[in-house]
Formats: sequence, structure tokens, C-alpha cells
Amino acid sequence: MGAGLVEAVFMVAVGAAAGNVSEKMQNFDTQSMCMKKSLLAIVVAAVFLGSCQPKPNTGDLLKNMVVVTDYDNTVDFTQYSSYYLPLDTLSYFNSSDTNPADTLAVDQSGTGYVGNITTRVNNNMLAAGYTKVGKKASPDLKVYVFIVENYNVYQTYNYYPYGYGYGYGFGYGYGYGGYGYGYSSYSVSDQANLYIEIFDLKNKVNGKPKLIWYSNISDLVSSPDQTATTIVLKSIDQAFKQSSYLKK
Amino acid sequence: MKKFFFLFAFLMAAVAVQAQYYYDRSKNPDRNVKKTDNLTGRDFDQYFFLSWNYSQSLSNPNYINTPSPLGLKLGFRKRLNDVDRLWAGADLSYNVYRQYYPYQTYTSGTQSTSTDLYNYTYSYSVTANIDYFFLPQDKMVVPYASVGLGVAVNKFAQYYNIYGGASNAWGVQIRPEAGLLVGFAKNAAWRMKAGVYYGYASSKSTTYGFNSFLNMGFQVGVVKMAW
Repeated sequence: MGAGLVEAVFMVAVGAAAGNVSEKMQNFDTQSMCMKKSLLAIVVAAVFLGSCQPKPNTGDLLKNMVVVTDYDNTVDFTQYSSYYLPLDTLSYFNSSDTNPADTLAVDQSGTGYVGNITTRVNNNMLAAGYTKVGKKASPDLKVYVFIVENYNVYQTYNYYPYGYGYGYGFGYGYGYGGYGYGYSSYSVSDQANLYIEIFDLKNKVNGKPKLIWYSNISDLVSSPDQTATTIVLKSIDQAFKQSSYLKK
Repeated sequence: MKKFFFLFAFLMAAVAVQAQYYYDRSKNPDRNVKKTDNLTGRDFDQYFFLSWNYSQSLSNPNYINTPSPLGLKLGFRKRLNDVDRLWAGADLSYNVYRQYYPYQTYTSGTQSTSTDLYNYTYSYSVTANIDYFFLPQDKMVVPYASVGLGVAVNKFAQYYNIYGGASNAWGVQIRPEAGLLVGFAKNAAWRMKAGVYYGYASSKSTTYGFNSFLNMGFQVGVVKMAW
């Protein structure tokens, strides 16, 4: 690299301050002007560098989903034997849906997006030692799968399929973060979460089923797995894997 | 806080400039300017530099413990007096530290969370500096020791999936440094700068539980001498 090019690069880097340092500077006034330009160059560079904050590659960030699980630690999961889980439907709630009553996503084939999810949940329940039965066969557990889309993460979405609305029994899930380094906050305007919940039908509280386990998997909207064949299924497996207590 | 940061940076630099006015040898009737005509005819009394920083975060190793090649420093110096040893000026320093934590499960109470994490620290500082050169500047190799005092701002950030959190922490920056200016001829106008430094910033983040930010590193850069 020639000296001229080196000098040119340097001039740009320091905001041309050094460019004025030449034989022309024969008196202090000129030097003072140069110094002011130097300071200005540093301030300009500070503003430039302050706005330069590299972040992780988006593709890398979306390789895995965030999987959160929680459970009622007063419950002995070995006491249950059977569960009920519909394989052809799941509930779907979207804040921008023009028809609030339309909360079902149906997959008659069982091999589409819905079917892939419910089948994988079912496989994990079977692997945990529970037996799938029909709704009228008095199951011990109900497995409830639903997707919530396009709600701000600061809005908790409390939905209880059995009709009373005190929310979730043990600290439902938004606001996680930090992971051992304190708690950070975030704001996301459009995302979708897959929830898997297990209700106790065997030991009802005041005649109502009790939520004893849930999983929150996100984000579905930005995930490259839009057919629920890879990352989503792996995340469902992870939810059960990190819940080793969930077994017959 | 950003306005305060820049105002403080500007104030520190202005103080250095004012000091230079009173100490500038051209204003001193008793000046005894060293003769360098036999070399290049130039009596350098200021320089500018841009350097690349390679540094290691020393604090909070559970957050980031890998070295970072992503760093820059921009600065200028001006000779303070007749003695060709004491120079003053300002530095602007920029470093980004990052570390990837593979997918794993974190458990707290009954709740478990699995994700991979990208931890970042963005470190900025503006310091007023005093340099002492152990040899005259007309030498080819001039060792120096320096100390900088100023303001630091550190942004600690975590990214995971589409989520992220960050905490900004401000503090006092102290940075001692030692190194060399190396010219390829006597009294050269362009020189190389190499040095090692240790940085302490009192930046405290209650969000992440950090009490300070420490780093150590070396720098290599290019220097343009001027007068």
C-alpha cells in the first residue's frame, strides 16, 4: 500500500483532522483550528461508533426455539395412567383474527402443521408411559395444545378451557430472560407461541380440572420451520426431555 | 445520558486543549526549541493515531470470557512543554465482546428454560490522557507510558431467538498503558504504535449483577506526526 493511500485512509479515519497538519501551520491560531477539528472528528467518530453495535446473525438466532416448562411440584405424576388428546385439532388464538369465535385449527389428514404437532405431543406422552384414551373413557389427564399469535409479550394470555378465569396456577410464563444473570426485558410485537398444557382430571379442585404442567415454545412466526417438521418437533421433544418428572 | 456522555467528553478534551495553549512552546518567550533541521526540518509537537485493539474481558467471566478482536481506538496528543517527554490528549475507544453459549437448559425452581444464548458487551470510553515518552521523538523507537481518565459506557446485551435484553451502565474509566512508537526513519512523520493496556470501568449493572468492567489488551496502530 502506497504512502499516499495510507495517508488518505488515515485522513478519512480522523475526519481529515490530520490532513490540515502541514507546513501551512506556522502559527498557533492555525494549530488551534486544527485542534478544534480534531476534537470534532473524535466527537463524530464517537457518534459513529456508538451506533455501530453488531448483533448475532438472524439465521443463527432462529436455529433453535426457546422452550419453557413449569409444573406443580406438589403433584406426583406417577399416579396418572391415561390421557385424552385430540390429534386433528388444536386451538389457535390470533389477536388480529376478525372472528374471535374462530379458535380452532383443524387438520383432517393428520399430516399437516396441526397433525405434526399433536402427533409429536402424543408420541412423547406415550413414551412417558401414559395411555391415550377417548374423551368418554374417563381419562386421568387432558393434554391441551394451542397456539397464541400476535399478542404483545407483555400481555399475558390467560385462557382456561374449563371456564373459570383465575389464570394459571403457578406463575405463567412471560418475562423470562437473563438466565442466571438477572432479568432482562424485551419487547416483541408479533410472535407466536405453542403451548402444551396438562390438566389433572382425576383430582379436581372445587370440581374443576387443575393445571399441573405446561410448556411454552416460541417463536413460531419467525421460525424457518413453517411446516412443523423439524425445529418445532425438536422443541416439543425438548419440552418433555427437560420435564423428566413427567412419567408414569 | 448520551448527551451527558458527549458533553463530558467534550469538556475533557477542551481542558486538554486549554492546557496546551498555556504550555505551547511557541508562546513561550524563553523557549529553547530543539534543533531537528539536520534530520527532517520538522519539530513534531502533536500526533494522531488510529489503532486496532485486541482485548480480553477480565470481569464477569461467566458472562463473556473469550477475547475480542473487534476494537478500535482513535486519539490525538499534543506536546505540553519544552521537554519533549510529556504529551496530553484524548482517546476514543470502542470494543465489542461476544460469546455464544450453545443450547442448554437453565432451571430455576420448578421452571426450566432451554435456549442458546448470545452474550454481548459493547464498550465505549472517552478519556483524557497524559503520555510520558522515555526518549525524544526524533528517535526511531520511542517507548512511552500513559494513563487515561474519563467516562465509560458499557452495554450488556443478551440475544436469544427473537428476544433480547440489554442494560446500559455508565462509569469512570481508568486506563494505564505502555508501549512504543516506531518510525521507519529518524523523526518520521508516519509511525507505528504498539502498546498494552489495562482498563477499569466502574460501570455497574444491577440487571446483570455486574459491579464493574475490566479488560486487558494490546493495540497496534498507525500514527501521523504533525506540527
